[in-house]
Amino acid sequence: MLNKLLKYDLKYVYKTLIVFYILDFVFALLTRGIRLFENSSLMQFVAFIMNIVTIVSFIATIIINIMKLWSRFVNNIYKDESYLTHTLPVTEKDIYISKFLSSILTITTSVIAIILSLFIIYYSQDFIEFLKTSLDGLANAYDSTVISIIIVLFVVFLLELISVVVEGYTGILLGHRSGDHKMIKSIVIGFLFFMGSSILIIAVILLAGLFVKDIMDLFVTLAPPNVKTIKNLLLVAIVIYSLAITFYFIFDIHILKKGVNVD
Amino acid sequence: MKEIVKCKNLSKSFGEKRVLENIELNIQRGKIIGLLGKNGMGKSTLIKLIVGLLTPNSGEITVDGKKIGVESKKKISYLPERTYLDKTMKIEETIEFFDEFYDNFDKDKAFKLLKDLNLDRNTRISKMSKGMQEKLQLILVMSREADLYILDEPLGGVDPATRDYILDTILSNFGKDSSVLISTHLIADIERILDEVIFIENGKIVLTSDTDTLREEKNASIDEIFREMFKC
Repeated sequence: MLNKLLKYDLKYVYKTLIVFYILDFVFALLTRGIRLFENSSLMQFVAFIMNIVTIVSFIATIIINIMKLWSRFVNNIYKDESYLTHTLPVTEKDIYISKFLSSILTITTSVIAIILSLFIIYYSQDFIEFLKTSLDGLANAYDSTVISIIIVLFVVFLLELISVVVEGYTGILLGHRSGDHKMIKSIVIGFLFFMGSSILIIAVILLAGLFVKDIMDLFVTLAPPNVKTIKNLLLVAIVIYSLAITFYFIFDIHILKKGVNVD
Repeated sequence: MKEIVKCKNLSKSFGEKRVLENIELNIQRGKIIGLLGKNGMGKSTLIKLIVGLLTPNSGEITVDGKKIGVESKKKISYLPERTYLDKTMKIEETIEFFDEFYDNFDKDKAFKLLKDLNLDRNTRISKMSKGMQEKLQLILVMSREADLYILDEPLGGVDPATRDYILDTILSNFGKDSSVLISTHLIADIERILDEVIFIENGKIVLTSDTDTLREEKNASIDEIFREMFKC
């Protein structure tokens, strides 16, 4: 049954997201095209505007993705559609896992769509050379290459977005356990969880700084951090985000298993 | 005769407000039962507890001997009082959806009922009126070969001709071992099809009876008995 739930969850989100992916690619192609004719101040201005439009499109893709996931969650679990969701012959756990997996999949494809669009805008022979050099570097010295940093950054960005979505789910579940002002409480609780996770990450980094001088230097000096330090920080972030997401996952399923009370 | 639903000492509160109190209820197989009461007396709450949309504060509900869960949901076909379909879907997609999730869903029957109502399978739900959506939901619910059909206010907000269609659809689409629990306050319209009635008031069951016996005892129709019992 999980695969069936997932199919319909993905279908719902992608119906809208696909439009934004197309927009991202179209804007990226236009930006790329206009950049070829940047030989006048007017064309430079148009290219500048296109860059902004493309960036706005990227941001909208991520925001719409998250909003669609949250609206699907609240509609399916507590609003009109919950009358169907909770009477399907499926477990509460499967309902949640489906939402969780659809979040990971859609966020991942959105980030990939944005990266591909960036690739369309900036692809050149020099860029390929740069990538090739970096990949060679990765093979030679795993710890200090630009490409490995890019990969880790990608994972951190992905995990951060997924944790935001899951924090929203936890907020919705806890907010709807109260008697009134359910949506407001959901937003407030979700925001508090988001703030809590962010503060936890900074606190852990500070704690790590007590033992690793390079990390503490980030907080007490103006000197630019070295590549290794940034990578270590990002790895710490990956661990914390993964733990936080796992915690929210287990906690949310526990809440749902206790039973729902739809309006 | 074996019970399809059994409620023992069932209570439900919302905050300080007690909506259902110590409900004891047995629903037998092969019957059409009317759950009757004025608005806000606890009919929908009792139904929501049976289908798993609410969690009881105390007491126990079993459906065919099993607690509320995946197995009970396979046996119950539920029509809520509100429209619950994904508005982005087309009629055909909702039929595919039901077919995928319910083993006892009869797709051919659903398409036949759609044809009877002149509903185009390619119509998007968002383009349908509320009344048409309710009819579609009734088709989806009655196209399942369930052990228990629970219909919450199926006649509310529909014209008399549609009421007759709904009642005929119910009568001609449930099996002899199945039961139908219908919640309504429009008793006159539904009286002709009921085998048993349950009267509910202020969260308590105040009367359960066979309809023929009750009519003979009181020498009145169920509608008249209801009006007399619940007059303001």
